[in-house]
This record gives sequence, structure tokens and C-alpha cells, in this order.
Amino acid sequence: MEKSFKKINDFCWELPVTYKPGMKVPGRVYAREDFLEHIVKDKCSDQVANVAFLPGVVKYSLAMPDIHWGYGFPIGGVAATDVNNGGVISPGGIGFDTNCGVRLLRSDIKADDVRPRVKDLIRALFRNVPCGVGVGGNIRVNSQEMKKLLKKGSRWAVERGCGVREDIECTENNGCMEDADPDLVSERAIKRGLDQSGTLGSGNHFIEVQEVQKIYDDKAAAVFGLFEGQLTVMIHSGSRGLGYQVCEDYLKVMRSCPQKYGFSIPDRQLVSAPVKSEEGHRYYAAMCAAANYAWANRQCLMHLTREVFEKIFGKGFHALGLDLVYDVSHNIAKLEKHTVDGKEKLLCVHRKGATRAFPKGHPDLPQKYRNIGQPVIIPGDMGRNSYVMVGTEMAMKETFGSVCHGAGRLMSRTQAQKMSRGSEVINDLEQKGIIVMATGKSIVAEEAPYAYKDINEVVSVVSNAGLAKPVAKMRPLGVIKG
Amino acid sequence: MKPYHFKDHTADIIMAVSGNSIEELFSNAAEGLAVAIFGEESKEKYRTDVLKTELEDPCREDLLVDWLNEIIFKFYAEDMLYKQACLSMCEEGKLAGDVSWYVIPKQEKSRAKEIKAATYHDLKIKMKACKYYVEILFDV
Repeated sequence: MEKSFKKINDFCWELPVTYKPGMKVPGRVYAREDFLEHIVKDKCSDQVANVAFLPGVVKYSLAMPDIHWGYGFPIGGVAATDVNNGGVISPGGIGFDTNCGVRLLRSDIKADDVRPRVKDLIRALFRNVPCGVGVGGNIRVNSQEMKKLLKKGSRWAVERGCGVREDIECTENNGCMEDADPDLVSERAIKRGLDQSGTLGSGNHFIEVQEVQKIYDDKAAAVFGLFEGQLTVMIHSGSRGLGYQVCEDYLKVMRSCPQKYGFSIPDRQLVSAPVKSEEGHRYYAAMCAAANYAWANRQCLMHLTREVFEKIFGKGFHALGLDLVYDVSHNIAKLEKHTVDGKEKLLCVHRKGATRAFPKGHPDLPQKYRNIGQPVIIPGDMGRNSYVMVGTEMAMKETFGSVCHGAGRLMSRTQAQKMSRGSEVINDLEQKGIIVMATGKSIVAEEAPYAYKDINEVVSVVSNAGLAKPVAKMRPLGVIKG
Repeated sequence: MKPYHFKDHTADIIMAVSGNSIEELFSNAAEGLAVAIFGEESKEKYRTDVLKTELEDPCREDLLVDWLNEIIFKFYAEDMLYKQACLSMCEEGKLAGDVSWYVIPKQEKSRAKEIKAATYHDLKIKMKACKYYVEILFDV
């Protein structure tokens, strides 16, 4: 089956349209040759091919090197559809956790100065940040207030004292998709999200305290405020139950759309509707609202994190230099202009487990990054590394300005649990100087480092393919999980 | 032997379920989902509630997704975990019946697994030797 792939270069492999009848465009997977066997075994090639069936899909059905088996789209999948040419929007191409994403805070603190107190810091974060299933947040909203939150995103949180204006500028889309329509979010979705504002969630969500281990690009690092030996904090979370319900609601709405609009799909999880249709418009507006919920959530989580640091260090977060570097989404659909066959087109770019990576000069970037490019935050597993990269023109040309979102899973949760108990993973990591606190030991086993691909190899592919350039590598000092 | 078991998937959960009737398939799937959410320990200490449920869709697979997503919504939004059901399904795709739920105290929900939704991925209810079978993928 690996023979189905045609080599484009050492880091890019193509699935021709003949791989599966019905494909409108080829598939392209960014990977090293030794990744391909696992990709095929994990049924990802079929998922890449299935995405190529979507009406209006242009250029390629793409997959990043952290690709693994998903549902509908593979995780690590990117696909763009031509909005003005019947292109569809597919909730399965975003995923249930709308705007799951990650943000990075920098600081003026040296990791060496904090090392003896990391356990205290992690314990304080674990106590003060609501995490885990069924754990409500302290930021209470009623239904009316929720509608304002869904419209405003990060701005809602900042207006309530959870951050500063500069945080908004350093968030993708300024932390708000303006097309959000809270009235298109169901009461069920609102109910699921009512007490979850400012909560971390569970699964692979985390807050991680890190040390910058290596700087690769001095100029970009200086602009991003990063230096070797620095303490940083990474926050990974999404739209919680509200986002899951929005996706579910609109998958149901779109169930009849393929027949209504005259197209067929090989996997019903790829149900979709033309962006310009009634159903497509309604889903997009609801998705924007769910995305705004996630940005407000991460803004609140950052506020809680800053409060913990202020208490531990006895200084305001400004004095600690605890500023937001950037916040990126890795489960979203965006309406973006891209050049296709020499013509500028309005595309609906789906990124499911993939991150936007815009180059220098792009007008969507905040002024302070416009001369350098977009920071791209790539979390790894809790035992190895995470990265900050910077977007390139090559990514705009080849992948609609997209790169990987993380390491990508290598094995199932069941397999991971069989390999070690959660307590063993925690002890192993503590031996390596990494403190882990979680609401349940089983989730630690499921999320153990060995369950994930090596982020260094994944980032190496992205870098060698020219899609993004490494700026800094971080290693974990401690992490909290729900 | 339980009428459901879980299969490997890289990131999520696949549950394989069987039933002697379509109604039994649906109630067995709900039982398996409740175990996936909250584990197998006895829940008899919890208060129970009985509510009438009614769902409708001409496509049985879609109805199954709706039913399972109802189980998920009830737990995460309303603190109620599926216990058992007495269901009937008519030709026109109407599923109805009395469903018993455990009322789970909020402070005990933290031991649950976060299951976001049932998906349509490769979903097909099959029949073999007078028994119904289906495999459902849940997003975790």
C-alpha cells in the first residue's frame, strides 16, 4: 500500500486521483519515508483520499506529518474548498472540539531560578485551574451573558478583567470570529457550556510549565520575546461541551445535504453543505461562536495561570513579563484568500489537527510580527519537547498556510494503558525532573510520552519541507492535566 | 458474555455491539457507552429517575447516533447516566420508551471519561444469523 504513494520529494508524498475513484484532487502527505508504513496501517491514506471527494475541493487533500486515524478527516488533515464554486464546509473537517488550540506565554523568569519550586508552582496551578470532567469553572455566566461571550470571544474575557488588550492582538483572529451568530447556537450547546468557561477539560488538554532549551533563530526569538533558559507556559484547551454540541447539532442538520445538493461522500462523517447554502451559512456562524467560546476559555485559563504566578512570585504578571506570545487554533475552518493556479480565490480552509502558519508580511498578523512571520505553537508530549516555529511563504504556496499541530498519536489509549500504569508514568517523569499532576491516573497512562510520535521528528519534516522554520525548542518542567 | 466490547483506535474509542432485536441493539449500545463514560463499578448507591424518550429518523444509523448522543448530553449537561431502557422501534423510524437514569452527584463526575460524541464514521447496522451488529466510533 505504501506503493500507492508517489514521491514528490523526501518529505512530500502524493496519492494520485486514481487511488480511489471519486477523488477530485490528489492527496499529499508531508512525512518521511519511514512514516508511510504506519500511515497506511493506520488507515490514514483512505481518509486523505476520502476528503478529496468534497465538492469544490482545490489543489490537494493534505496531511501533516503528525497525521493519524481520525473520523472523516484524518487528524493532521487540511483541505480547502472554493467558496464561489460550490465549495462545501464540513463539520467533520473541524472536529467536535471547535477551536481546540494552544497559546504560549513568555516570561522574564529564568527556569534555573524556579527549578526548586516547580512542584509548588504545579500544585498551585492544579488547585486553582478547574480541570477534569464535570468540574465547573468559577467564571459563571447565564444564558444572556453567554450570548455576549459567543459574540465577542477573547474581548469578553478581557472586558471582565481577565487579561489586557495586548492579549487580543496576539491571538489568531484577535480572539474573535466576527461572523459569529449566537442565535444559531442551540440551547443544548449553551447548556453544555454554561459552567465550563475557564475550565481546562480532560483528555489531551493541559497547562505546561516549560524551559526554553534551544533557540534556533535569534532574530525571530527576539521578536517573540524568547531566550534560552527562560520559563514559558503553554495552555492547550478548546471549546468544551459547547463546541462538541455545535458540531453534533450541525452534523445532524447536514445529514440530508449530500442528497439535497447532489453529491456523494464515501464517509458520512464528511457530511457537508455548500458554504453559500443556508445550512453552510448557519453552521459557519455557529462554528464562529463556538470558536469564540474557546478563545474566551483560553483567555480565562491564562488569567487564572497569571494569578497563580502572581501569588507564587509576589509580583504582578506585568513585572514578571508573563505576556502572551501567540494563540493558535488547530481545529477550525476559515474563509481565507489564497492563490490557486495563479488566481486569487476565496477558500474555506479546514484545519483538523493542523495549525495556521502565515509568513511575514501577511495582513492578518499583528503589527509586531508582520516583519518576521506568525508564531506557530507546536506542543509535543509531556516527556519530550514543544516548539515555536515561524510561518513561511512555502506553506502559503503548498498547504494554504498550514502546518502540523503537535506530535500525533502513535497508539490507542488502550494500548498505552497496557504498557504502563499512570503512577509509573508519573514516577518516571519525576525522575526526569518533570512534575505531573492529573485528576486521574488513567488519563496519564493514556497520554504517556510513548503514546505519541517524536515531536522532534515531526517538526523536522515540517522544517525540511520548508513549511515553517524552528525558532525555539522547549522542554517540560511540569504539567497539569484534567 | 457482554453484548458489547471495545476495539482499538489510535485516538478515539470504537465499540462493537450486538443485539437480538434492533431495540436490544440500541439498549446494549447505551449500556456500553455508559460503561465507557463511567466505568463498570456498581452504581446502585445512586438515586434513579425514569424519563420518557422519543426520537425519530427514517435512517436507523442516524437514529442510533441521535440516541447515543442523547445519552452523552444527559450525562455531561444534566448529570444523568444511562441505567436501562424499555424501548420500542416502529417501522417509521420512531424510537420510544421509558429510560432509567442514575442521578450522579457533580462531585463524582470527575472520575468519568470525556466522550465528546458518537460519530457516523463507517457506521452500518448489519444483520447476521438473526442478530444485529454495529461498530460505533466515539470521539474522545
